[in-house]
Amino acid sequence: MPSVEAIALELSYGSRLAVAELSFEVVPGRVLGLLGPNGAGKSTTMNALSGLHAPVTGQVLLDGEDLYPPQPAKAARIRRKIGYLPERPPLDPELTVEEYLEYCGQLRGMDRMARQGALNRLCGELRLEDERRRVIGRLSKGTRQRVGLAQAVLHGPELVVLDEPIVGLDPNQTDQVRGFLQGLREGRCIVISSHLLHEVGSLCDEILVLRDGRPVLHQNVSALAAGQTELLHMRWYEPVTPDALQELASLPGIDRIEDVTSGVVALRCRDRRRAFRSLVRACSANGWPVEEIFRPNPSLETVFRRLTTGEREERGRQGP
Amino acid sequence: MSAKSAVARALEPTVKATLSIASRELRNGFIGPFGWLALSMTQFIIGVVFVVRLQLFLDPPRAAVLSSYWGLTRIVSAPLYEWLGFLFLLLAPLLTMRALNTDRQGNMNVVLLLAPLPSREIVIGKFLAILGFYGIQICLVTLLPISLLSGGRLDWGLLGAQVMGIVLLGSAFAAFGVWISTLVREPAPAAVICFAVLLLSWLLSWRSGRAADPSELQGDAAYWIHYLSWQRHLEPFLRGLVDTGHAAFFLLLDCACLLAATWRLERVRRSR
Repeated sequence: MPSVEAIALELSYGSRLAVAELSFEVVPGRVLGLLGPNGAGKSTTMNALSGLHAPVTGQVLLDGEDLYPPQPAKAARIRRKIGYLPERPPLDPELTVEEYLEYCGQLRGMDRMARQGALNRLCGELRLEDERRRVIGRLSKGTRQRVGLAQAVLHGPELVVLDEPIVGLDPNQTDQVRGFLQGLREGRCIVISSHLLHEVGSLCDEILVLRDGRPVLHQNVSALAAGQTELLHMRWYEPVTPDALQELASLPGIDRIEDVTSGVVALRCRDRRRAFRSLVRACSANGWPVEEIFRPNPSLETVFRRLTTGEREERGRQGP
Repeated sequence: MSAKSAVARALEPTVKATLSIASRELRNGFIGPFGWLALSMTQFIIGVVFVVRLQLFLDPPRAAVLSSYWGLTRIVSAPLYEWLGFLFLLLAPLLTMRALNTDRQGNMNVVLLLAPLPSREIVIGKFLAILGFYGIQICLVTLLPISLLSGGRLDWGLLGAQVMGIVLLGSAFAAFGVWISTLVREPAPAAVICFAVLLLSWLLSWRSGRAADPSELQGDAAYWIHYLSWQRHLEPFLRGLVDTGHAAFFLLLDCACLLAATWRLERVRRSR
């Protein structure tokens, strides 16, 4: 089964190093989300994965083959396995949707039957049927984005690289595209870059966060969530007293106090259920002015902000 | 036989892809006003030259002398193609600046750069599109001397040589323009550089005169300027002389520019 592997990538623009020490692997059926603030090196990495930016050192392997072989014929053969949607979709405003997708298919060496089959299927799946004969220059932003997505997957690539695939779509279109991408993952490696963190969280199996061109986190989304399940937050009506903090730290099931911010005490638990029961008992016994006790929502945004700016603020929440 | 058909089958998608690049380019040239404007302006200017030359031929005192030496085809059609060559010089930068730079601006170059095609095929596709546009112009201009068949006789060999010369010249301009287009990111500077180089070559060769033999000129620089002058290589074709040396000059220029453009595009594909 084809997989994509980046090994110790170093990417630069002239003498300026854009990405360094980047290694990861995406296996078929898995979706990797590439995150990072602007200028972190996401688009450069996407270009490198698409065969448009050769690394200074390191390798990108697709199905065990170097993406940048010295022989042009071999490079052309490997390019056939890649589908790429850049941040700005590559569209010809003068052509109709059908003409444009036909043109893309011809460039990728698809025969007439294969082109027609793929075109009909994609227009159906991406709800482009009504726009097939419309000129691209007159389409809405969301429709153009879906046409760009269609060109990226038209030839059935093994590696699909999508830079901001959801941007510019209305909620209905977002839902369609999300469903389409879920169906696309079977047997393919998909790499997505997006600033819409909740979308990355719902679409991706693992995330890779870049900061200043270097990876700062590479983890499964499920493991990321699991890492936050041992936290409990207490929101107080009044400032927390030192005595109360001391007592909280010594309660059964509590490991330590993680943080105290804006009247919220973050507690790391050894046993969350036991800790919750002892907290309720302590509140009742001491008459502490506690508004609520809750389990913080393990949002990607929290992790992203902590990794890229150092902020530790917890936003969402849910019951224990 | 089977090996031959296997090669043909393997080449077929590549050739089709090259032709689809060329047809898209050519079609896009006529979607906006540019293509139509260029065609109509060319036809207007060449039409004026045609009428002037025809009047010269029909002027009784001159006609007696001229027709005895050169004949209708030489007197009327040769200047048309000479002027068309100059108009190609003006049009080449405008046509070729669109070759790769327009795609770059619309991000369509991503589709091209990621296509499983060798860079050579992309460059040839762009080149064929410009050559196709020149071809349409040449056909329209050739209709003018052909219209003289209603009142006279044409020297078809001479006309064929003239058409061959102008096609070779157009191909050289197109190849040069495509190469410049791969070197410069923005369309406007690409057009300016292409125009400046072609105009300079025309001005320098005009300055160095029209000596039949470059060795008659003083100094190495003058010799080389004259030798590289496109007018010098076009002129024999306009006289009806199909000289393989001059044809080879244009073809070598085509090959050199297209190879340089391919090499440059290959570099761009790897280090965008």
